[in-house]
Amino acid sequence: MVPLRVSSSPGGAGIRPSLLIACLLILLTLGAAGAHLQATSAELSRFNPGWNGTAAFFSLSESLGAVIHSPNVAPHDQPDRYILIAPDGTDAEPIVRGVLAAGGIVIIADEDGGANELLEALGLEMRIRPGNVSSVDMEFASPRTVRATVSSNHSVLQGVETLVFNRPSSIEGGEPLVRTSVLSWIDHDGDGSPGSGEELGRYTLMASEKSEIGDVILIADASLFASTMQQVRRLHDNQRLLFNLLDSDSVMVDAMYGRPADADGPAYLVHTVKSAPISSIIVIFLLMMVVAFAFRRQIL
Amino acid sequence: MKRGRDSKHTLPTLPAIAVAVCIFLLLITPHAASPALYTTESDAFTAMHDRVSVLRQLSQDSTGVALPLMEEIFASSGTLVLNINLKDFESAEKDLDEYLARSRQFDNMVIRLDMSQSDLEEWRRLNAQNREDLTSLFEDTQRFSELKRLEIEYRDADNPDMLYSVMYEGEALRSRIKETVSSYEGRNEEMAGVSERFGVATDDYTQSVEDALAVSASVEDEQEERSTEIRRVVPPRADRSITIGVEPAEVRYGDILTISGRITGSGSRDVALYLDSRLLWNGTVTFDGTYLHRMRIAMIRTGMHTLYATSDGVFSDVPVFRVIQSPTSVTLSSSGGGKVSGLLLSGDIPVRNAPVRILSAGRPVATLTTDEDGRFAGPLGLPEGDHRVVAAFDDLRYPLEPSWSVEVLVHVPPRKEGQEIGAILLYPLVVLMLFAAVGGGIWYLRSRRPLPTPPASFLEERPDDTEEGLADDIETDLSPLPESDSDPVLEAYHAAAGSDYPDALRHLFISLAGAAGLQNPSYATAGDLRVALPSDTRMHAWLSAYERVLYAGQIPQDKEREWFLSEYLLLREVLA
Repeated sequence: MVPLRVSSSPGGAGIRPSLLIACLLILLTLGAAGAHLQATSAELSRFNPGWNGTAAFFSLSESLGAVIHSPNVAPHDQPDRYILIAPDGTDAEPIVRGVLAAGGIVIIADEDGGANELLEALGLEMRIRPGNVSSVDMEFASPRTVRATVSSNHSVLQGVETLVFNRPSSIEGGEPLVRTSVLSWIDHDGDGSPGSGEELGRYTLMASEKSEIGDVILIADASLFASTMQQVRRLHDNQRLLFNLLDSDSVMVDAMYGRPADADGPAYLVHTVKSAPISSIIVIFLLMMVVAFAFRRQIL
Repeated sequence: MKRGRDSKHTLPTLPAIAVAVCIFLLLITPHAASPALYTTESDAFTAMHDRVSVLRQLSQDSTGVALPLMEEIFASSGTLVLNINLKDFESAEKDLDEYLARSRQFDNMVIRLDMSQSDLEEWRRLNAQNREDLTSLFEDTQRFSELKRLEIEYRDADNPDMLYSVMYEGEALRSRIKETVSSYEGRNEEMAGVSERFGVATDDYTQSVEDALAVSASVEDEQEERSTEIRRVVPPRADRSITIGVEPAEVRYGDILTISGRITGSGSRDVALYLDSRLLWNGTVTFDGTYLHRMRIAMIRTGMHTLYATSDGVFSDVPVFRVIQSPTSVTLSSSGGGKVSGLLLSGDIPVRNAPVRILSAGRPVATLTTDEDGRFAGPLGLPEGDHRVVAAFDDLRYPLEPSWSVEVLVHVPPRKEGQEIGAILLYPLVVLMLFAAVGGGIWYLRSRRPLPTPPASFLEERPDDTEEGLADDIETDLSPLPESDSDPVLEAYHAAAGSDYPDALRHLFISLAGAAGLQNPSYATAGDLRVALPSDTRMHAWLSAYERVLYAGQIPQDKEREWFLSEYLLLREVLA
């Protein structure tokens, strides 16, 4: 083994410049590889920094003081607001019931109907009805980017008049809060125009329903939280809605029971290991072993 | 020795790299036009969402335009029938123009929004039928009103033949008006039902139906009184009579209608046929007193029509026949070079000499006329680029249902011939330039080898040359632009303002869109301009008022027109 401590100047010992550059390059490469391995392209994943992820929303949430409920972060004692994006199954039910029992607000955003199981378990009547709502009142050059207006007051809609949705589904039941214009339809055949069986009418995209002393708000479009919706500078009152949702004494955003927790490929392994409670101890132990080894072999 | 080895190794290496680079560039040049390894557009949507940052932002509130426009159409029809009832035909004519213009705007909107399979199309279809009835009601009641004056005139001139003519024309008009009003009333419930589904107020429409019934009742009474009086004053001739028969009783586009009859008694052998009180045919009876005329059904309105024959002061009965509307189909295809061609059929019958409108983004860009085979073709006069166009047939003068083609992509190539030649020469030029670059590089490296000192005079002359060149350039750039005495935009505005104010405003809008730096200002929308100038509230106010005129059919008064113009001048100055 050739020692690294090689003299490069007549006056004293030090690391050779070429070796230093090589070390730096290795560190940079490892950093890039680490960042790459942690990222994913899974839809709405908080580990997805792309346009269809929710990394931007989770970053915003943290900057506004919200707690991210992930496997290695214990749930907040009793948040007064709990946000669930595209949940699947009923695992979140205990936390949701706790928030509602304390008079808090639970916000559920979903578009493929995965949240219906949870809504049913909570004894609510609201349901997501999957199917692309489209409208002639479009924000972008696609009838699936629907403009909808507030039809009923709610504290989370303060200062909000018009919202832009992105391939939303619709809601049955509950009290409608945000509805499309009458020239809207569910585009079953995906041709971008109303045809037979695609009746024009107003569709509910956001609704609320009382449960115990709390309130459940259902949004028929998880894409409201996707990064692409935050990359457009002027998007009516969408940004205001996100701030309103996160504006409370204790807000908890779910990153366990819905799509934001998703990761695929190497990112899945990285985050599984990272989220295991014992993983930090193992990593620290391994690092100490490496340092001790380096000292013993006079590498450092 | 070492130096010699270095130079031996270094000097040939640089040209070799240059050659390698050139070869690489040559190899990738064919792919330069489509470097599509990754584009944001290729990753523009998933099953859950669209990538909105790559889509064009429109901020389109079509419902905010369509629903008020539907109410405006009802309001126009209400005032139209009210003025007909009051016999104020001058005001009624203005109302009719307004009503037709708004209906046409609505039709264009339905096409532009691709709502041809929706409930909105149902409303449009019912309104198209109402439009036929109201146009017919206006024309017939106006003519019926004129008969009163003619009756007095002929009575004063003691002209019994013409008095009978007035009576018969009155009978024909009475039948038609009754039929028209019955058709208009019969649609009331269905129209109101569809409108209420959209939340459109129907009060004006319901009132118009009641007023139309009152018009019909008034015409009935007046004609009854006229017939009784004329028959009392001028008894019919007993020595001469004329009969008329029509077959079949119901016809469609392309059918043949046979009109025949016989004259008995002595007198003239000339006979005249009147269709809807207008002269249709002049002819002579045969030796046995019969006459025959065949008419092909083409440009004639849907609904009931009346006929009568007259000869030498005697009049036939007034038979009726009904023209039934037939469906149509339009096909459209791009013929290249910015031209289109298509075919208009009713079933398998070609529709002849009919106008077909070509729309791009809901705006008419050309009107082509069909030939004897129902075919139409022609250029569109669109700017270069890709355009999605549809062909629409919706002429009320034919007993044919409106129809439109599927959307067709029309590519308009660049108009300059030089550009085509440039495209052909592009690759050889690139290759030549690359070889020149390689040659130049090698020459430069070889000439650098002895590193000669550049002549002092060369170094000294360069700055002077550059300064002179720059001064020349600046002088050239700052030369004053030629001033124009007149403003073509304002000229176009004033020219169109008298006859078509929305068109006049369009000139101002295009000018503003151009000043705001929009590409293809002629095809820009108000939404485009809003997106381009998001914080210009003054511009937004002007655009809102502009949209109300263009899409909601509001007709601004003089004061508002002054506002449009003054604001336009101000906005243009700010943009400049």
